Amino acid sequence: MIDPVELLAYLATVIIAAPLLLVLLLGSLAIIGTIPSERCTTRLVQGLIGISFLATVAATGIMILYGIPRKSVILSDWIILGHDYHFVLKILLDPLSIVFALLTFVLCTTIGSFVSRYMHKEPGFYRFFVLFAIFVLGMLAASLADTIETLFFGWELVGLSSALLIAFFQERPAPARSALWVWVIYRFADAALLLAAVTLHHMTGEGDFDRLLGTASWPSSSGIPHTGSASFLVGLLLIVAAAGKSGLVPFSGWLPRAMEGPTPSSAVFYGALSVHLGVFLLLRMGPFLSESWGLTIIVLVIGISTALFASLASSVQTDIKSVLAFASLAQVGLIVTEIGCGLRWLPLFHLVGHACLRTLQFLRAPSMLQDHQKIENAIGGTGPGSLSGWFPAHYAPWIYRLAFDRGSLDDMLWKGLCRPVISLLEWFNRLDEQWMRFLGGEDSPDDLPLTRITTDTLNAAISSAPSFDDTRQ
Amino acid sequence: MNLFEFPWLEMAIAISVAGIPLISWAERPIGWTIGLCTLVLICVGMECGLHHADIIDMDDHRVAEWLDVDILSAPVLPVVALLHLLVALMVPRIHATNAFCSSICLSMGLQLATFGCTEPSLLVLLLIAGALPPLWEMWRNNRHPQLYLLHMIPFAVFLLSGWFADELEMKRLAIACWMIAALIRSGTFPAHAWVPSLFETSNFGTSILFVVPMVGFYAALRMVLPMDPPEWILQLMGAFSLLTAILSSGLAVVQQDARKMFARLVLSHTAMTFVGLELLTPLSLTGSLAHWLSSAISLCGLGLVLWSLEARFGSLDISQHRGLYSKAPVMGAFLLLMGLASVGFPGTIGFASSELLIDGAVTDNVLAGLVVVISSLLNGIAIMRMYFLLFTGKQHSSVVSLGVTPRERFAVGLLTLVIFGAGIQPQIVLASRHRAAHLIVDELERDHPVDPHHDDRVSAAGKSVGTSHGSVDD
Repeated sequence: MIDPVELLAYLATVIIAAPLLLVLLLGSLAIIGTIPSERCTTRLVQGLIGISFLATVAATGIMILYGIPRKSVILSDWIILGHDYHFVLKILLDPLSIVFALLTFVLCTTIGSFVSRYMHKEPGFYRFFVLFAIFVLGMLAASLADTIETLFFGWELVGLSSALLIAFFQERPAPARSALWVWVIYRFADAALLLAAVTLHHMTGEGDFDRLLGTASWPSSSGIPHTGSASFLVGLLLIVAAAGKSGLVPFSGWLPRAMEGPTPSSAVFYGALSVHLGVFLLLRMGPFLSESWGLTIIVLVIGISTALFASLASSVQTDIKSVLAFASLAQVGLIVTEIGCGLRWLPLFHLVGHACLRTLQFLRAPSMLQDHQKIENAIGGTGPGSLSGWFPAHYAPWIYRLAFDRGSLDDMLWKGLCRPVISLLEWFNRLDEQWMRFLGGEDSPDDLPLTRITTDTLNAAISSAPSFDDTRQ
Repeated sequence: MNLFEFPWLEMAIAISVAGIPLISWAERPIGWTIGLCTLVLICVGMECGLHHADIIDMDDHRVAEWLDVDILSAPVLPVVALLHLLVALMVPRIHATNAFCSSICLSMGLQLATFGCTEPSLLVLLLIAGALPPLWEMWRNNRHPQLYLLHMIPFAVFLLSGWFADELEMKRLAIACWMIAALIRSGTFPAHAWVPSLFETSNFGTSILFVVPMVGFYAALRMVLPMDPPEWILQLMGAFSLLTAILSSGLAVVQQDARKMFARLVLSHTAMTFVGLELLTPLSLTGSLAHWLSSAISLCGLGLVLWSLEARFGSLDISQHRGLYSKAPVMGAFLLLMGLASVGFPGTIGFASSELLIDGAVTDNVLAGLVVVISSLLNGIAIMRMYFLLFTGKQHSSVVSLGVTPRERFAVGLLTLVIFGAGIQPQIVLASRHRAAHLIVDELERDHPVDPHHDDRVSAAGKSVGTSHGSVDD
């Protein structure tokens, strides 16, 4: 008789190993210069993801059959350094992780199937699937993670594949600029998550979720209550990480930029999975966050403001993918609000339903205009206006403009944070080069005398337009 | 004499030195260079493998008594040999002259001797001698060595001053002089200007071999730490290193030229390696030692890819989109791989070492941890910016094939194997670095016992040592 717990451990290894093998295989073939045919690539992707999917379904079945609410599997004692440091690669099979993993498989197999036809004969077919494989591995690692470090592992992979797929149509500079902006936001979120992970590691000695949240099955928590400024800081960092990854206010500006990528990647990333990764983090850490009133209020404020802002913005956009992006964001804001209210199952079901609906809508986006024309022909006119009648006439133009400019969030981040930093760095760079020329005995007519490095020069540098790449569309 | 008793390290150095005149006159210098570098790598690998396996006491079979392989230098020597082999493999044909290939051998011999030397007096001479190959090349190519000399001469002066001070038992002066020398050699602010200048004026390969192995860090480990430097010296070193790390990463983001950007990245990574040295706990030291190795390998790979791109497309201006992907897609993938490995992307060699470095830094100094995280963040942005500017945009047109050559593919394939191999299974490397870190801390405690009430740093480092770890080589 096979021990179900042992079998679960074996299946858990297969769930992660199959996509990892896929990434290594596709990557190795690219490096050695042997690009397989479209059919071969599709079969490889289908095969290995299919194996992982079957393993997940089997694991789910065993857990339901044997009444195992939660199972933590150690994949590897990855790093053990005496008593000084311990990094274990662990995955967790519980309701939250399994639901998210199954959602990942369902949507990814749908998208994979769509792409094999949609991108037939496209020059970047193989490249798309390499990045897609990295994305699948990242999503699975993040959703099944039982330590915050393992979650970070998947988090970074999702971010990388996301940025590279935004720049998929690389003959045009605009997608690359948008991808760079998204990457900058992602790095910021990654830094916040990394700092949270390191701080948690020191608070509890490990980054395991069962040390933080207890061993009770999600969404219950039986962990030791964490209070104090360190816990508050960790919670804040986690919220910042989630906000950056999911495009919550004030980071919402990157989401419409991400629509530069191919429609299938927009569907699976920004309609379905990647945009919900921050929400997943909040769901996973929900019991930790809810121990602090301050953190709960912050989550609520972010959720409500995101939902309101995105609803307004989506109603005035002029292209279908931007409309869908903001509509998606509005739902994400609502889900975050639900989490802030202390709910757990409702946000999860909301997330699943929303992800499936939005994926469908994104995939049908190219046909959306045709659908609208059919509807308008049928009703004999256009539908109701977007913001007409909602607001007093005096404020409507202002609100319309605010929504159309997407809240100027990107502008605020650029002008308030990025441009001053870049201007300062460029000023340091000019000084540095001048110093090098001085030491090297070279003269340049552009050199300022070092004695004239005054406040006026600094102000002039900060107020001048940056020569850094313009990441704005 | 059997294989286990053979003086492999001496053989490696001898091959390197013998290769200089041989390659100077060879008809196909690059083939000879690759062959010699491979031989040297095998010899060094044997030496370090036998040391790691602890089969016999290698000290009994030393021909040169000033050489010693211990747990600190054991993994570094093969990495140094590997770097030289990779440069030989990826050198563009136009640069594969007799003079350059000889300089690879010279650099390899000097660096192996340096990293295998534990005798401070001889180390001083080797460090000074190690600064000569780039100078020789600048003179050969009629470049201005002024900026380089302005830093290397003080470097040599401080080294020699420290030596004399040590001979005269003026310990603090010796520590200060050697620390300053190590910081100059590592390009720590304000003595950093020579690094970007070297990359701009010199052959890219020569610059990589001179800067990337981070010889200054080794000098600090071998010469400064064993003398138990006072806390204020370490704090000063830490402060300058943190400043260099964050400034260099920030400057890397705004560069308009790929070589300058690369130089800034190297400065940033070198400075981050010193952060763990300042904190002097087993965890932070382990992070530093591991970061040293991972940065050396990944930055070497990144530099070599940039060099290959330069050979094809000329000077790499990153102020606008170049659209090189259509002509060199594999190079794009390699650049991304090496660049992300250097910033500690998950699955690569740098991930575990970055985690340890940040973890060790945050434990003892939150500001240091924050600076390391921000530096990594900025370095990651710089890498992606460079990738997007080089490889996206209107397609570059060319009538000749610009694809990757078999030599380059082999070299980068080898690097990829190392990067992912050590990334997926970092335990072996990290465990060895952890033992080395404990060795350093234990030796400090043993040789310089302190009153715990008066020196919190060392007593804290000592307290963090649980059980006695790993093999102590002496």
